[in-house]
Amino acid sequence: MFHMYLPIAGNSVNILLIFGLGGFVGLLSGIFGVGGGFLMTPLLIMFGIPPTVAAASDSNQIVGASTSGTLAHWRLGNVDFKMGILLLIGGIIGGTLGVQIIKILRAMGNADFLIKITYVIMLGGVGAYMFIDSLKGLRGQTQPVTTKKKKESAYARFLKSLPFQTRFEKSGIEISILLPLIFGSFVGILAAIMGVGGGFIMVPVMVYMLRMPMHVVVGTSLFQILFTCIDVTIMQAYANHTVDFVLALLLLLGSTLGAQIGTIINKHLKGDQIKILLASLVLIVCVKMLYGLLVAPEIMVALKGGH
Amino acid sequence: MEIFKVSVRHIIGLWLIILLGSSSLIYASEFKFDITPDHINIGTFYNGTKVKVKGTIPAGADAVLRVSGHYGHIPLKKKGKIAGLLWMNIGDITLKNVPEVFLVVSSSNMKDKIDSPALNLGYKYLEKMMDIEPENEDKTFIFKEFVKLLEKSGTYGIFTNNLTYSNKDNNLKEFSGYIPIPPKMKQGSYKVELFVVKDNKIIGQGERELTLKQVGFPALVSKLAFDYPLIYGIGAVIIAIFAGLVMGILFKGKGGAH
Repeated sequence: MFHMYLPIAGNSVNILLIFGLGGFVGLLSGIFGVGGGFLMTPLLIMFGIPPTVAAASDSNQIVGASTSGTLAHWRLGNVDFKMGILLLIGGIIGGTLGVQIIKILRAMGNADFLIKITYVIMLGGVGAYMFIDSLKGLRGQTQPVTTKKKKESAYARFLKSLPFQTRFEKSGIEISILLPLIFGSFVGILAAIMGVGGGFIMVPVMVYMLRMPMHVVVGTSLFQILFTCIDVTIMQAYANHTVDFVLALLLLLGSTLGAQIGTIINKHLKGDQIKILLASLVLIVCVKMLYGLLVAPEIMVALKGGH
Repeated sequence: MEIFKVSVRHIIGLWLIILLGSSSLIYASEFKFDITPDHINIGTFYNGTKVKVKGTIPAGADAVLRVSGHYGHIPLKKKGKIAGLLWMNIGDITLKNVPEVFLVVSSSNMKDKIDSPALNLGYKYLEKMMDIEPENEDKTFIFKEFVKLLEKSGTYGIFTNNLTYSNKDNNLKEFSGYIPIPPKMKQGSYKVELFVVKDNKIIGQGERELTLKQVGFPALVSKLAFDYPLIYGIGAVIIAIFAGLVMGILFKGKGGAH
């Protein structure tokens, strides 16, 4: 009862369960501006979907969720298209580089080790920094004025010294166009190595490195994720035949709904509240991953093709 | 006369051979069995099924049914500890000549006998046939872990409570039961073998074919995905964007935003 057969995944799933998973991830997407791939793919694998099909079909559903989320944020004036396009160009360059890096790592052996360590360090580092920072913000604590001013001015001076300065009206900042290109490439490299969309790295980069306001960050991140996932879905369908459209459609029904609700929640939360919630989520995933690395697995082999 | 005597002996010997051979053929041909259905359609709401089995065997014998198919290479990742601390994938292994599906069904009488060396009807049979690459890997250990993995997915299994017997005339008995077909069993053709076991020996066999085929919506999606992958990928993206836009508009219409 309530089961549906997924022809590409080669398995049947409970419709309500997949709908619920989609809704949960869509909600996160709307609130935080992350694609949710780093959560959804492991959850789908847990429910019997082959890893390659889970990752590719997830990209397809993120297209729908991020369209819905981008539209909602665009209506609220939260999308900086200029910044989004530059980050996207950087992301594509970085992603292409990252794919080559992972090829070299695999040839050298121990690629899995490096991927997992990158995951834990990135998740742990980003999550802990965001958590502490937003906690301070929520408590109304400020760092000693002199130190902060010194640090900010040094970084600000560095930003101003870069060539090709341009004004980003929506974000209310003026920085070099090289910055979004460089940071976009950096996230693209990491995303390719880690096999995820990179939203959970892109959001902190926009907040801390590009100094964009949190509400614009979420809308712009969704805009960028939308295009990344369109590219991934078409490439995976064409090259690997791993996009299960039925699975994506089931996830979509839940995620588009979840994304809308998430956007409403986002609008009612303060920037620091959004940051601390995202930080907590990232830290939970980090702890879960660390647990998986430290505890002996139940089965000592896995089918090839997963993470 | 001498020549005649020899010829008679030869003829009698030959007759005995033919008689024994033909009797064994007759005996084997008696082991007919039915599987219902022998063709399964994988439709939109398919979630695995059960195939009923029924047949007649000698009164003192037991029936063992084995479903297998899609033999080939299965690539695996081996898990191990790195730096004495972290568990992760540490190497690639390929199992050769192993099936994607291996299901054995019997009555509880056969619980401890399926893998006995004389019968070799269970996992031991597979392990013997299988090759491993690299060859220096611990074949028995890897195979044991591989079986655990596929048992979890439902495509491997030994079910020793799925057959029951009822008496029949002429020293015969009827067996009936079912084979569980997991949803993960791919479309294609599978071999269903019947082994008739008596006194820890296989005294006869039978074979049927079981086919699974995607129909309707799953068949259409598979055809598009494999035959027209670019159109399929672009179509999947367009529908996803459309669904996202529709949901966005619906929410705006309801005044949901805010």
